Amino acid sequence: MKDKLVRLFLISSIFLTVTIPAVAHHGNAGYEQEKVTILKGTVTEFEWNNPHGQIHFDVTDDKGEVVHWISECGPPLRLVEVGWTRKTLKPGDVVTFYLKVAKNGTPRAILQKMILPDGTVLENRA
Amino acid sequence: MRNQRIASAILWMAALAVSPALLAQTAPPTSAGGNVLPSKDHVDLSGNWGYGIGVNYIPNGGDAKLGPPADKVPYQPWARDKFLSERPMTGPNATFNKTTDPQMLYCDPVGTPRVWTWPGKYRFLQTPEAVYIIYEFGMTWRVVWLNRPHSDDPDPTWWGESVGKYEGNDTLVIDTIGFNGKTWIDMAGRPQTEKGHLIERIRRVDADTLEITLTIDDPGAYTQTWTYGPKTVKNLKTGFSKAQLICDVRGNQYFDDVVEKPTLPATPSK
Repeated sequence: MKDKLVRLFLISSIFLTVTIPAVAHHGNAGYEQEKVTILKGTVTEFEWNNPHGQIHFDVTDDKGEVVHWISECGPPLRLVEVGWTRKTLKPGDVVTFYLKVAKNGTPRAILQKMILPDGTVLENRA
Repeated sequence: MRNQRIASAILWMAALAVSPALLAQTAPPTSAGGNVLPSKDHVDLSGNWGYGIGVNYIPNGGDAKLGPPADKVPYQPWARDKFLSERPMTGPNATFNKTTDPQMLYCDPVGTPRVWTWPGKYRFLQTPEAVYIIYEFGMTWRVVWLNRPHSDDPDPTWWGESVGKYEGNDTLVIDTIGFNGKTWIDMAGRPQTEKGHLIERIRRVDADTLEITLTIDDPGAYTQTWTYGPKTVKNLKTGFSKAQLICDVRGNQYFDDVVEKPTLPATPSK
């Protein structure tokens, strides 16, 4: 268990030090720039698409209501470089998402990183 | 074993002696990156280079965030107005709402120098007659004809007509004219016209570093020539991605509808 944690920490550290290209398909002016929101949700669909992937997931809020979120991630071209495949997510997976959410309050976000059911940490790469 | 080697060598020499065609097919020297090198007298540009060199191609000392005139770009009045009217999807004036970016809207060819803004890798395939530049992002490529003059009156095209020459033993200089005036020079929306004349200097600093410098001369839109750079890009060691990124109008539209438009600020009803 300790080894697993150390490995996870090392993997996370490597991801954090990777240089990420600054320019993507679009800007991110519609999203919170500094604040990172952490949500645990159940994946309903994963679209492995250009110009960006989309992760659809449901989150149960404080009132017990289910909110359907869509988070963008990088394009396959970038994501494969940090360990993603089109099978990385499947419906029913319970995943912890680290997100920059839309400023206007709609359930849309840009993914920063996520923790998969098996504990694997995957960074987004735009 | 020794006799076998001698026999093999004799057969090989005999084959070469009787077949000039075999000589012609002997592989030219290659660099570590696999490029064909026509000579050792010029720069070897092999490597997996990346990524983009910036979003705003403005003169040194300019401030892109403040826009004209603080960006120090020598716009003609119409070009300044056109730039200010654009709705780019990246950069300080980014908006998702009704972008005017022809590349994002219609997947128009990106052209050059805007191609250097893209966050992909690129490789240089050097041959005796031309250098082919292959861009991972968008799966696109261009050709730079070596050691020849421009056509007298090149057809206006998305990428223009590029000719090039090696300078010293570390630089490739690319000279491009013949643009069609439909592209932006950068991601922020600065215009390019059919009078555009672009010089791109690609200098290999060391095994892991390239410098890219752009000299933008477009009397159709700007009152003076200016230089952007030099900007450093790195040899990323890893090759092109197994995945593909190709502009696709329907994919862009779907993404904008599903993800981006819902993030727009609410518009007051009239």
